[in-house]
Amino acid sequence: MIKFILIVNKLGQTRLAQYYTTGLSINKRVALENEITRRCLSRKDKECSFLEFRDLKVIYRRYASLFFLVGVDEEENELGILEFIHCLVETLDKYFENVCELDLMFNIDKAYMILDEMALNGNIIETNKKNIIAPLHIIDQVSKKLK
Amino acid sequence: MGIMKLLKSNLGRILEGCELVIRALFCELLGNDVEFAHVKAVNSSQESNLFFKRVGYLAASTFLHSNQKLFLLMINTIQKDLKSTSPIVVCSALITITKLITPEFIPAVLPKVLELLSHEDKTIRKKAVAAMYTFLMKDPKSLDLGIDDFKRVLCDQDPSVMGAALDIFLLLAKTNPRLIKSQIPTICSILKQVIEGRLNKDFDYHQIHAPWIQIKILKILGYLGQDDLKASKEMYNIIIETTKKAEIGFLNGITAACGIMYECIRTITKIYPEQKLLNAASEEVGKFVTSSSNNLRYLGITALIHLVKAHPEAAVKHQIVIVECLEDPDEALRRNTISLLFEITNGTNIVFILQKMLTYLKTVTDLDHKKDLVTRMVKLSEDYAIDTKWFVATINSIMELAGSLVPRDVVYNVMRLISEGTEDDEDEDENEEEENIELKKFAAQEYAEMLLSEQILPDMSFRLIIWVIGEYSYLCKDEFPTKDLMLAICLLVEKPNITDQTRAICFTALTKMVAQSGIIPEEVDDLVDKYSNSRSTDIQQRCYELRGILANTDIIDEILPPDASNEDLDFDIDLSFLNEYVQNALQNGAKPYITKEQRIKMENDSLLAGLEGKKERGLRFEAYQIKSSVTTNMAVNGPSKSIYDVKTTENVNNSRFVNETQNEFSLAPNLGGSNLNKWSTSGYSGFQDENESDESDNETTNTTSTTTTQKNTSAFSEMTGFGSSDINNNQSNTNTNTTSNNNLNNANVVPNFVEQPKQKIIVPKKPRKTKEEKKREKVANLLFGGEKMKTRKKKTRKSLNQTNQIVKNSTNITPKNTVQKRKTFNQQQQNIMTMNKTNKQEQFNNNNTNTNNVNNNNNNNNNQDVNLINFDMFSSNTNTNTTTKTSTTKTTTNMNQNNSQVTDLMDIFGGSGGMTNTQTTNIMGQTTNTTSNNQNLGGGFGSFDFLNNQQSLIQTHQLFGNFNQDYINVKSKSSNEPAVLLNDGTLSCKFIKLFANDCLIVLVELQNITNNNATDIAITIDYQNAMKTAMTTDPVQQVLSNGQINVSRIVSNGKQNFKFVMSLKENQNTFFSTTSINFRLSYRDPKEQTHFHLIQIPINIGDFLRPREMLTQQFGSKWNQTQIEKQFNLMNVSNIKSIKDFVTLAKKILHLFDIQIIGKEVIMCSNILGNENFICLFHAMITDNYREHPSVSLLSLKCSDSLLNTFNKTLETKEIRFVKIEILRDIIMSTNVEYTFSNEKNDFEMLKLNFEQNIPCYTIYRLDSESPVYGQDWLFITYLPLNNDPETSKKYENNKKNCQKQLGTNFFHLDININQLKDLSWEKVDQLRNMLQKQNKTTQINVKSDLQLNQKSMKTTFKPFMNKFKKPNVEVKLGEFSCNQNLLDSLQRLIQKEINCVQVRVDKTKDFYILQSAGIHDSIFDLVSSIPTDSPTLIYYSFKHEHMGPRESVIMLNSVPSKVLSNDKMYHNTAKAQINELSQKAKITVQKIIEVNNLQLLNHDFLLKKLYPYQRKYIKRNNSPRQQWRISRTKSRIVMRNTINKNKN
Repeated sequence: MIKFILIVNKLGQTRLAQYYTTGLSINKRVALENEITRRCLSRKDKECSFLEFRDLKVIYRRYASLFFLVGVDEEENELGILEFIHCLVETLDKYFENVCELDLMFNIDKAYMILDEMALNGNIIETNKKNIIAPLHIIDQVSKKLK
Repeated sequence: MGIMKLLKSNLGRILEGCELVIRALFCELLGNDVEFAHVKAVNSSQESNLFFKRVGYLAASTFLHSNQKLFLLMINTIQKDLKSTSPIVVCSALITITKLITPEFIPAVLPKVLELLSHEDKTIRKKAVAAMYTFLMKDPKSLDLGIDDFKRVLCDQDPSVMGAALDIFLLLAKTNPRLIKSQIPTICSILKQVIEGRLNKDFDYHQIHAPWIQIKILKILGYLGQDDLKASKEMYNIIIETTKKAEIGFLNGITAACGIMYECIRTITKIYPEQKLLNAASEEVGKFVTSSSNNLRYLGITALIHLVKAHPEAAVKHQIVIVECLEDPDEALRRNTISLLFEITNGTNIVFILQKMLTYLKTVTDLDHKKDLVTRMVKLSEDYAIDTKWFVATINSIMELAGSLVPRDVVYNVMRLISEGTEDDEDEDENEEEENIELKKFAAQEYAEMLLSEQILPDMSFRLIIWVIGEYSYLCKDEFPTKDLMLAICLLVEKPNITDQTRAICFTALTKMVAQSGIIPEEVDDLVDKYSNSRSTDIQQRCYELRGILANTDIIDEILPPDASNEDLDFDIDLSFLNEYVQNALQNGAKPYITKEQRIKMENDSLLAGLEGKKERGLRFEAYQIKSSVTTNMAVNGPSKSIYDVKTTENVNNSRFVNETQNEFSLAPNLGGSNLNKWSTSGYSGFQDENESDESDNETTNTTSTTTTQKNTSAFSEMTGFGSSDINNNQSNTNTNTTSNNNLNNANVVPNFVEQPKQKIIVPKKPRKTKEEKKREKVANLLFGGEKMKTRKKKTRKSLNQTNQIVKNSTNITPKNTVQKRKTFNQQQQNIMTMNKTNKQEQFNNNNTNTNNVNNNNNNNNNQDVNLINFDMFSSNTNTNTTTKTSTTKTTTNMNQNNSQVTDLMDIFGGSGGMTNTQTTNIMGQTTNTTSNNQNLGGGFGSFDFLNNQQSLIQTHQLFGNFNQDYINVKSKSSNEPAVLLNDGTLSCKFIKLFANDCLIVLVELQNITNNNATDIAITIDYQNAMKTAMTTDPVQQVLSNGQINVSRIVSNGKQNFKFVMSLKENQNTFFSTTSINFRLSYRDPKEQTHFHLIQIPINIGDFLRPREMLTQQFGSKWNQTQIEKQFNLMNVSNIKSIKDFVTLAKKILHLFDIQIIGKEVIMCSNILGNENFICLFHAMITDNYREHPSVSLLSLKCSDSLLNTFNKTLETKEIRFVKIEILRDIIMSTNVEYTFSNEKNDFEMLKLNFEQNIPCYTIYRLDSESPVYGQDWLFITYLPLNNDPETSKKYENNKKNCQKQLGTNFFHLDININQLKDLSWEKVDQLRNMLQKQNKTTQINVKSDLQLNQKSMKTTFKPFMNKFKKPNVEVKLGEFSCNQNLLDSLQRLIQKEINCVQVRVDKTKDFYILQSAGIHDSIFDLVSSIPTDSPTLIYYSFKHEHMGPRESVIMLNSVPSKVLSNDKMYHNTAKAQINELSQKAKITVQKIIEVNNLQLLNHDFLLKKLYPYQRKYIKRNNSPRQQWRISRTKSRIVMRNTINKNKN
């Protein structure tokens, strides 16, 4: 089960955070994020993309300036998650067209929505890019009308 | 925080409100508390607009994660939205449910969600399934669904709904597997469909069919098949099939396929074991662990951890990889491997594994991880300890590294172990006793050392140390005088960081030591005085006891006998010695003791009475009756705590002693009774439990072992390779011939103790701890705890005692395992060695290619258009170069100062455009940037200055500088408007630059501004300084051969145009050296006066650059690819105020394409005109440090030179005949490339045409003949004209080496220097080559003074040479020493095993290796007799010997007989250093270089011993026939050696 999905930039600033476990206070969350990010950033390219952190396994992947980190429990398949990250990035890329950090910053709601379409309850529920993006386009149309 | 305020104030407005909610979301993300916005989010979710609603839900589900109170407000909206017709709204509500729902609200939404499960929209169905998962997870009882309901969801027609439903099944498989066991066929068939690709193509991910669904199903199967043979059988086939499918992807390197395969392995290990599958899994794991990717290796190790549990042999196969991973720099990988080690530990590898772990422990910083590690290590060392000493030493080392993390129990275990030793109560033979004492002594020494080293250790470690020293320091008083130790303890007591409990123990230890040694140092005395007033009563008491003991020296021996900690004490639990006292008290009127039961009864009674009589109950505030109180207290506390009767005396001091033992064995008094409980059970009962549970496990798996004989069991343990203790456990049961119940075993043993004369009672807590219990504890410990360490060889005892039996068993097992292990070990080592070797070779290759590609910046060069090759080879500047540079720079600066208008000179690219006021040479000089770095890039394409000169000039002009008064002022502008070159009243001359894509066009316009005609106008292009070829004009004019254009007249106000075209194609590389187009203009004015003007049109680097469009990403990747970089600091450029200014300027002047402006930085890009591959990347940054400078801009610049690539390519394609290289602006660059036309001889004529009389150059010329090394031979020709100016000549001379080096082509066959063109003829070259081939000399051949030929020094080419070594036909120089062909041939024969010995001598006169002799020697004696005794010799000898089978290894003997002159020795030894290269060249793997000084010593065994110096160590431990054979041989060897030594003497 996925415990959290984090997107941080290489300075360690959080750009997106989705937790699938409840009851984490903001302070604790920030501390956790900092700690994990610090560890991930200190790792070299060649080293493996997995990290054991307390009782969690953190799987991370780097895309240019962004790090995608996913915390999972023991039973999750690491490579499955690694590919899930890639799938997420591909989807973001498809939606934003050449996604970059700024896209996430200025369209954080969209990023969250994409994530919600892909994973719920800490499970991967959808990886079909068409299905993921379809509802977002509908919402986009609505919001365009507003403006 | 400003944003937060803004947010707060603006949240009210609805439209922006939504935007602001998103911002608040972002703020929360960054870690700010935005509680004020929470309610807004909830509000927003209630909006009717779809977008607002979605955002509201989104924000709410994020915000309310930690603040679920507000969810109450949302439930209504959710209920409403679930009924909405818009799918998006329903989905939003469902998503929110999955995130926020709490068990109490489930019923509110459940019916609707269940209804939605059959909604027509698949997205809604999917989300509803997810919501159901949430319900199931949060409150399983809320769902009252049968399997059919779940199945209906699972069999949904839409794959994504099915995928979501699988999550539910996974959850059920974990929590309630029975419910869905019936569905295994369905699940399997789904998996089958998936792997056969029957799902929609959209679900394919990187050619793999729905990988995540596959993974999910495999996980479910894993849970369902767990311990269930029937269920597992149903899935074997499909798992194999999935594995096979995934393997195809795996082999193609598709990560998703790897993931599936990994999941397959996990499933296989999880379900009921099936050998075939396990074997397959083991094979797959092999693929993972041997992968080059760390990710896969990591997972391979993880998979192994799972696998070894079911399939213990699996790890053995991959041990080499495991060892590798253990040393991997990747921390995560190492950590995982360590976990694997825990799994594969057994009695035979424990020492090694713990050693590895200790090394690893040192590197761990993460506290959680460290703690976990320590616990597991301690457990392992307890479980598999090989002997007591080892155990104690191991625990010590663990404590040293992570003392605070070692559990308390372990420390007490160690104490107990040291005190009790390995003794068995029944048969204590002397041997045992000795060992125990030895252990104690060992421990005392260890700890004394630790104490004296004054390390800072954790408290627990100190307690252990102090206790042991207190008890046993007398055993090591020779090494560590008791007094010293006492002083050390005193020091420790004073330390601030230790606890009072430890201090107390210190005092007890001191007491014991005083008792043992009988001395009391002053320091101790002082300390006792000081601490007698300690705040801790415990310490106080101990101090007084110490005093008390000192006062009564006669009883010391009795109360504190040495080494008695283990002895049981007698306690009078009836406290009979107090009878008299009690009697007296009673007589004096005290109340009699009331037992507890009575008291409770009384209290109850009084309570009732109190209720009736409203008597107050609670604390009593009145004083106790003095007399009765004593008795009561004593009576209550008696047995468990304060007062004891110790043996005979009634001395109060002794009660302290008891107390002390209690403290040390259990916990400190103030930790109270709960800890006492822990003590009594921890080391014992804990193990007991485990013992039993393990046993029950074993019953299923090891059922056979209980009936088999002992031998079988040991074989079994060998096979399983782990858990030998478990087997022992079973074994013990069979041996005792009782049931497998431990308790019954113990019952059997009981009678032994009943017969003991004294019934002893031990302190504390369990006052009646009998021998029986103790026995049981011991057995438990033997099975699982710290005492299973007697694996040393012992004679078998006859006792029926199971303990001994176990010991025996384990000894039987051990040796075999050790042998096995040892073997594999050797294997490992060898493998690693060979791997290292191959690695090294690879490295060599890499080095090689690296040198060739140093300057190779652009990988994408496939450009066929290679008219021009430009080498951007950056010389590491020689001294002369730098001096020239500095001097020229100085001149320019001086001139600038002379001009006095110049305030600042910012040399960006070196000067060309700007400083035309000096001669061109000067301008050239500016190119050489003052920095002497190798990346002398700027000059690569000219230069321009940022100048701050005359303020009157427009800003842009500053970049171009002003002209000297002698010349005509040029105020050039960029392409748009013509700049005036000249205006003398008659003619005006303007020019304009046009920037075409592949060329630069300069249009010059002459205009007659008078009313009269100007006649006889002539324009002469100055060839010297301007372009050579590229002048064309309008067709009207005639261009004369000398570059003159004559125009007869320009009529009044008439215009005449000239066009200069500079294109890269026509112009080759000249533009690099072009700084201006100079021409002379002469005309006659109407008054018949002739005027002369010298006109210069400045050309700067910008004229050759063309913007190149590029994306930021491309830029990024190019930037990384491009190596050459140069940084400039432009300070105080007043006209650059912002980055935008800079960009406009740069665009205007340098023609850069601005890719992106990021803040105060900009990245720009351009390429050289006409050459797509020559890319310049710019990165500029404006820093506004106004205090110091108005603006500071940093500019770094990179340029790629793909052209070098072209050259490298020629090495392969043989297309290029020669390349002419010139040094332009101090950059070595190629200026001309010619292709192969006919043969080398004919083409050579063409080469000659390319030389220019007065211009020096290098040329590399390819010969048709093939060199043995590269398949190509090149000439390196240096042409230095005699009449050239000395400075240039020097430059060329100095840079020659550099140039060769930069080319990375260390393969020039001949190095030819010429000074006159006539010297260059093919005949001479040919002659030289022939001569070279005939004469086998390494020295330089001087043919003519002006024509030199160098055999290329092998020093630089040695490495490439080695790799491509074929068969050298000439002598090769090896560093200082060379060898002759004979020798090489002989070595070759040695490799081919035609001969087995080659002897090499060093020829002193020629610096040569010479073959002394070569041949076959049947025996070593034969060899020895052939070695000369009067000269030092190197011998390659192929040595046949037996070592783990027959072997033959080439060794090198360095025989330096003692009678050789020391001079010769020295010489020989210098030569020896090179010999390694020689062996490498001949590809001989020399196993070992052995020095032999005395030839008499040289024999078979001597060589063996040298080859395997560690062999003896192995012999000691191993007992196999082979080992024994070896032992016997070693013995004979020793005998032989002794005789030899005798002979010598």
